[in-house]
Amino acid sequence: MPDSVIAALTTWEWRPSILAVCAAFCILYVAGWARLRRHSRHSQTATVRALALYLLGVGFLIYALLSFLDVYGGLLLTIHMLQHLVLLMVAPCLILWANPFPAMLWALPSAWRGTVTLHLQGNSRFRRLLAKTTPMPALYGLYVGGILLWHDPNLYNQAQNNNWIHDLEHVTFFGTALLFWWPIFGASPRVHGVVGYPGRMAALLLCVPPHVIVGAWLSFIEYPVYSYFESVPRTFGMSVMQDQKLAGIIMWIPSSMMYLAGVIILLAQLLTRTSNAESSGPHPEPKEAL
Amino acid sequence: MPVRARNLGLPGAACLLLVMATLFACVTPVLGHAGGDPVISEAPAGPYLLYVWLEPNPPAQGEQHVTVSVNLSASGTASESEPVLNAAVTVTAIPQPSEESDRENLQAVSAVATHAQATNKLFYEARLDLAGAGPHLITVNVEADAGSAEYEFPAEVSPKERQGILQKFLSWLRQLFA
Repeated sequence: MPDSVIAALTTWEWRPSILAVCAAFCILYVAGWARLRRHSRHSQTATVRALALYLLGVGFLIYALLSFLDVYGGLLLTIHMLQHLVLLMVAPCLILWANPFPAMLWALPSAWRGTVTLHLQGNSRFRRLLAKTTPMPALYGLYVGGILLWHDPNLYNQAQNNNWIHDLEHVTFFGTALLFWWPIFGASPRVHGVVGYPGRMAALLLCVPPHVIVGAWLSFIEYPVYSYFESVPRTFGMSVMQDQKLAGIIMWIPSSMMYLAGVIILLAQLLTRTSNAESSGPHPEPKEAL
Repeated sequence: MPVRARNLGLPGAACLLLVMATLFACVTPVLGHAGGDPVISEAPAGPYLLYVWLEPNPPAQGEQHVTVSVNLSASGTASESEPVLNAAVTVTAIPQPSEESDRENLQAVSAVATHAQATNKLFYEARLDLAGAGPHLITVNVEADAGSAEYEFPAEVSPKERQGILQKFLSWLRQLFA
């Protein structure tokens, strides 16, 4: 294995602040998961699969922020693009797929749990406010808007030269991704009710054009878009333009494929439910849990 | 209403303790982290191209981290260069005081830059203990298969600021999130 690859794989950035926050959320989730499982052995939320998904999601988050993806992201736009993919899609999707909110609620003392539940159930003011301020179009706008904004050359260069701005970039990427994927996965708290499959598929399909446009732009433009990368050492035999073209291709094709894969999964679920509904006959709608 | 520890419940208290313990226990490694600001880019030094980062920047009295990247290009252009991973890199800071009497008091400090100390294992990092403030000459000496080279650049070292307790705490807190 080439020395440069070994160097890449052994590069880790020690940031206790990130580890501490991730560890705290893991402890909160695991404690709540265990408590919920003791309370109800047949809980659909506190399953082994959910536990694995959540921990895997947090693991990917830590990997994106502390491994060579972050360190080498300062040298190669390609690596930085891969880091963004993990922050925007992989980690949030895994975490929300586990539907962690109920388990985290069970980690709280009973009095606090009761208060939170009270504010999120029925027709409470907070629930109505949350539903009103987080409609699907707004979450889509935040998500895609954030991606486009941080790919502006001036802002991108500033983020590379300033740790605070760089951290803000990552926080906004991950935060808006959690918000966007929240109704897509139907994760709790389900303040929007059940978001229909057509709406979810449309939201995912609408994510494709911005990625295609920016990705193709980076791939075909004839000069370096981000001047920052002209000032750092070259690695892995890639010139600045080769690096930029590859990064553009990653944003253009694999990113779009992931959204399309989501559409296909949702379509498969819709077809399965329709088929089951037709074969079982009329069935009362189940009451939505929190 | 103040939150008492027993009202947090065991998971919450454990969470809080873990966060605080991690933050306090990991101060030293955090303060040792470097990287820093780029000060030299694509500087030719013999057959090599050098890149240098300083942390803190501008350099200050006390612990100074100097990160160096040594690249080699067959064609001599930066775009086709590759990092040299088996070089012996030494960084020296030589005080340049204006007064002759001060030259006797201030001595050059030198340190070997290694991959182990660097966050990015393609680079080399050295830790210097700068005793005095004022103008310095930073010298980077490289020895590798392609030959030896030396590069020097001036740096103005700031005096160590006296920090109050609050400022020290804020610096420590800032380092945790850097």
